Amino acid sequence: VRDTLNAHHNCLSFRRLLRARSLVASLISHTQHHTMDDFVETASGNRVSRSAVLCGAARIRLEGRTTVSRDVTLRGDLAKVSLGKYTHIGSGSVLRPCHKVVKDAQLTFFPLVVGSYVLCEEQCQIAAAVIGSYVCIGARAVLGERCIVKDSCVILPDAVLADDTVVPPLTVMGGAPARIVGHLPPSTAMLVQREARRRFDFKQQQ
Amino acid sequence: MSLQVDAGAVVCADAEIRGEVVIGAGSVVQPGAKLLAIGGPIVLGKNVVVDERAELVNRKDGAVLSIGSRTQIGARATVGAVTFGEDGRIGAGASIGDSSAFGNGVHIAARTSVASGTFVDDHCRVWADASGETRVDHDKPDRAADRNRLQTEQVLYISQLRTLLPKAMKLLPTS
Repeated sequence: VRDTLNAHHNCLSFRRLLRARSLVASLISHTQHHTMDDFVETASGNRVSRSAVLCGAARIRLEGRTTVSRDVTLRGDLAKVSLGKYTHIGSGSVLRPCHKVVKDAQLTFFPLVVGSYVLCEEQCQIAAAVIGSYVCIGARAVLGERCIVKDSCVILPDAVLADDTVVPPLTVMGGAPARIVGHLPPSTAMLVQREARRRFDFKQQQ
Repeated sequence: MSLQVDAGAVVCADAEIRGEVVIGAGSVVQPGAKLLAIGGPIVLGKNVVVDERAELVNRKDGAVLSIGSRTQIGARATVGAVTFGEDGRIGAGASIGDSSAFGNGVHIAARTSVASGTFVDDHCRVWADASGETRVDHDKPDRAADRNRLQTEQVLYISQLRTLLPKAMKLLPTS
């Protein structure tokens, strides 16, 4: 009986792995054959498009091998923005630090921390507080103020996360307002990491 | 191009401004915004915040795109030739068709698309439900505390923007 149970369990987790893999793959368009935009490449391998707008560049930190596509807006003038390694920010996205009214009527901007191997697709609007590592953010998603997205999550395209949402790890969030629509196996981190590296290396070959 | 920037307004030089545009006192136009007064003029009230990559496009000849005071236009929003009241809020990524009119205190949720020719009353919320249909709901009276909180936040937000933006970004001069 135990053997059959083990076999069944292995079968289930293998199926979940396949589903996770197909989910991640469907989010990431494999036809990345657009022409190489005008990019500035730094010593640590960061690639920043010339048409990207980096406000307050002194406060923006790109850890290494990060890609900032064309027409992306990073608002380092409001607070610190840091992007982890192998992170890819899709074209037209806006990354802006969140703000909060603290007691005695003062508004402060909080630093935006984005983890490593984060794949953010095109036209996203991110006003989150923290984004973990190995996160896939689909196209046109809106992350509200002070959102916290933990590691290894997938945010489906066109999702709208309300303000102050906390996304638990290994979750799929979708819809507007976004709700948990699925769960992911722990192998998601490896899949997203692999895809992030593949995407960076593919661009490098172009 | 005739641009009139009233005193105290902060307009980033990044912003693409074309045609006859009036920006009220104390307003903030963040980098990457587009104010294209192609058909008719665009008039922003006082203390209006236009977020990054928002597009205010007036293609209708003879119509005025007017945004009331203390309104906040979210990032990547597309606004056609509409009349927007005061104290409103347009969510990120929303798109509003031409010839619409909105009362005061209207909140439009993120990524909602509002058809042309819509008329929305004062103090309503416009949002898109699960099937993608846009719905308009009147605000309940017990939401007054929420509104006050949002208004205070808006005032603090805009004053912070007015302090922080000039340090980092090049601005257009006030007239």
